[in-house]
Amino acid sequence: MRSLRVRLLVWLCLALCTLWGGVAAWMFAGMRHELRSVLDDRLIASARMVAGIVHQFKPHNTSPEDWGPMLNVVARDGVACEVSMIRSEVQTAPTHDAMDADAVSDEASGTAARPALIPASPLDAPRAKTVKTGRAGDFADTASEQAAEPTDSQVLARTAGAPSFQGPLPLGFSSITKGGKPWRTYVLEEHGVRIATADRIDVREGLIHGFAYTIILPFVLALLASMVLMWWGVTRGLRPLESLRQELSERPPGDDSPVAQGRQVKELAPLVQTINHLLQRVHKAIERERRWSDDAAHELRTPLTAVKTHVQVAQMAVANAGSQMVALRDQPGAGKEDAAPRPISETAQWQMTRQALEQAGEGVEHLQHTLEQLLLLARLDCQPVSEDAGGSRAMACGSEPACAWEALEKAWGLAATAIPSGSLRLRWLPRQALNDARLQDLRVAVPQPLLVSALRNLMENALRYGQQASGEPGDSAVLLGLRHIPQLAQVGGDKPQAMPVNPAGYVEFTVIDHGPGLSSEDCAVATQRFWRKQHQAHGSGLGLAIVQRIAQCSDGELELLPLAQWQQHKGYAFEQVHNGLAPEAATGLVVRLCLPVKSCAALPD
Amino acid sequence: MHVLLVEDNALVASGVKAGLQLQGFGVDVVGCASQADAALKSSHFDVCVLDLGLPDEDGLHLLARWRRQGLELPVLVLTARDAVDQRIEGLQTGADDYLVKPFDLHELAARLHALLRRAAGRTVDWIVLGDVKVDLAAGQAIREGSIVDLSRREWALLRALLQSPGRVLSLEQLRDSLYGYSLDVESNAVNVHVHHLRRKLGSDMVETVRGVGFRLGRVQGGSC
Repeated sequence: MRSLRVRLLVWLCLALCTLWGGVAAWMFAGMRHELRSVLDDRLIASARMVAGIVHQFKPHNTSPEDWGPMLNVVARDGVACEVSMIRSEVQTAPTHDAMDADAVSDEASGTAARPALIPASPLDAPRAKTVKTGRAGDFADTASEQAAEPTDSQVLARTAGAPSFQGPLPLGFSSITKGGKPWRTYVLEEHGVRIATADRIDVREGLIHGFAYTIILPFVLALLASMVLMWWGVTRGLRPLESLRQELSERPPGDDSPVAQGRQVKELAPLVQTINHLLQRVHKAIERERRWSDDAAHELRTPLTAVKTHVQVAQMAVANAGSQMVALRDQPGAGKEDAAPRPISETAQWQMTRQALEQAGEGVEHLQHTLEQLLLLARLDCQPVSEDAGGSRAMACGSEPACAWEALEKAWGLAATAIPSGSLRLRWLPRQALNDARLQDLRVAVPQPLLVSALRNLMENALRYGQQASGEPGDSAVLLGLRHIPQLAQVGGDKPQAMPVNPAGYVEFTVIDHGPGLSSEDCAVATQRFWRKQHQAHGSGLGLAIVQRIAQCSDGELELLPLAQWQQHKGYAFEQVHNGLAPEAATGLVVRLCLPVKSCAALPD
Repeated sequence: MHVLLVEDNALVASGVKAGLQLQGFGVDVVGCASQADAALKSSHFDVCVLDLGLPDEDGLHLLARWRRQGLELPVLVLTARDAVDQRIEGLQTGADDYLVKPFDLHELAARLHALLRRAAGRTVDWIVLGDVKVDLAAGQAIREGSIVDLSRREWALLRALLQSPGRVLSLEQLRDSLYGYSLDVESNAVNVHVHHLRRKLGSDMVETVRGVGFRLGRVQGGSC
């Protein structure tokens, strides 16, 4: 169960229901017992009252025909009384007062048919006289024997609608089923008259159930009300936990300051303390990672500097020595005519040395580039991915938001000098608005050095890999575009994805080359670290990974797609982009980098 | 031009020293802050290349101490740490320039030239002294339209004099600029180079201040 509140409530309800259910069951059992006793008492009292009345108004002749009009009683449903004349001489004879509870409640189906079964009554005295004393010693006879004797009784009167209670009914209480209904009966014999009073057991039970409802209903209502109260109380009680949760959820990813909420609550204090310890450890771990990348930078750069410096010294020394004159007599293969002194730069050894040093220099440059990219990536990894659309978290480096236009121009300059013929091949997209002041004022939520680095990576990639093997230099143009878009949208995406939203919109940088390009499958994996299409190719395979990471950090997006796909979607004036070649012949790669506009910047309409 | 290189890594130090010497600098190398202090007390330097990771004292701390002591020597800081805030801290502490390892030796030399030029109050890297035009960046002296061939020591002497126009430089200062710590320098070596310089560029190029040392001549007529 995930909700602490629901869990608490369930436990409270369970406890409450169990305890109050037990109490209710106990009360109900006691009440049912009492109610049955009372109803049994009522049967006895009714029987005795009827017996008294019968005795008082008994006609002198005892023929049954005379009884008819006297006991013509209509009773309510569920209650029955039957008066019958006992013809047998066998009578039970009470000899003393038996008006005690035992006699009343004793069941006739039991073994004891004690004198107490016949309760004392004002009607007792005359009836006692009629009882034969010779039978007085048979008090200890079983009830079954007594029950068997009055079988020849004759019914004098019966309540309307009631079944006959003739038959082997014992004296006292018993339960029988008559007419398909269960009855509780009490049989009394007095003055030669046998009186059976009966209650329907189902009516009795209905009464008991009625009572039970009156007990259970308030209990259920009270339980419901107390659940509502408990919900309210538990919610109030859990408020410190909620405020702690809120503080943690509102915390920016990079914030590792101690948690303030919940310290005063006894139960929460250890939790808050543990969270703060955890934050401290995370803070230390991040610090360690940052320090590690700094230390790694130092440890790797220093020997690289030594190598690079010595290679350069050697190159300078070789260049200086190249102008010196040397006699080629000692050169292998040199003839006599070559004996005249010539510059060292013309010797094969000098050429080899120079080439070797050049290649060593290139190797060092490559190593340096890879190292810089790795360190940049390691630093970017230390930064948390931004959660808000403004991307302000990506500004953790403390730099000002970058001006998109300036960064693009700066990266343009760097890329143009880094790659031979770069300045000839870099061009603006045909419809690029070059004099739009609003575009030039756009600022993005990424520090300037990072943005320049990202754009430079994209441009150098385009310049390096975007060259047709046998094409004119004009075909290898790399086109650059910058525009403002209101929201992110993937041009080549097959599936619609949930895109982050920035109220100020996004800046879209587009870099298009016309080289062999990448397939859609390659585009999907090209941003993975150390991915290279050809392993012997120049580069470390980190450039696009860095751009991707910068985009992620600022809540932006990087998309790579084949040129043909982009043109289909874009409907771009094709001949302008591609110098009139057929669309299907178009190869090349389009890279779109979208970064959120910093909200404080002046927005274009 | 006399450079103090404070660098604890022997490999880097030897490479930088050789590279700078090839480009006409006189370089002395020390490996720690205490040695750097001692070197500054005992000798004259035109510029210092300071590595921040020193074994006995943090480079920035050393620099701050130097600046507190009133040392105005231009300092170029070399470091392997490239975070922006570290650069800012370095420049605020008193560094005049900043280079991140690994660097290009030509760039280092160019930056040192720029530092020296700024320290001498110039904005361009060439000087006209009468009929002689000295191009410090290209390492050329042109007299009456033709390039004058100067040896490495003669260049170092000319640079040292140009670095402090109007100021008298002692023999020891000039010897430090030319030879660094070398102990086996002939006592009249500086005089010999002064003589050669006068012969190539004109006798009024270097003025002798008796009992004190030498200074750049024709300075009144020089323009930048």
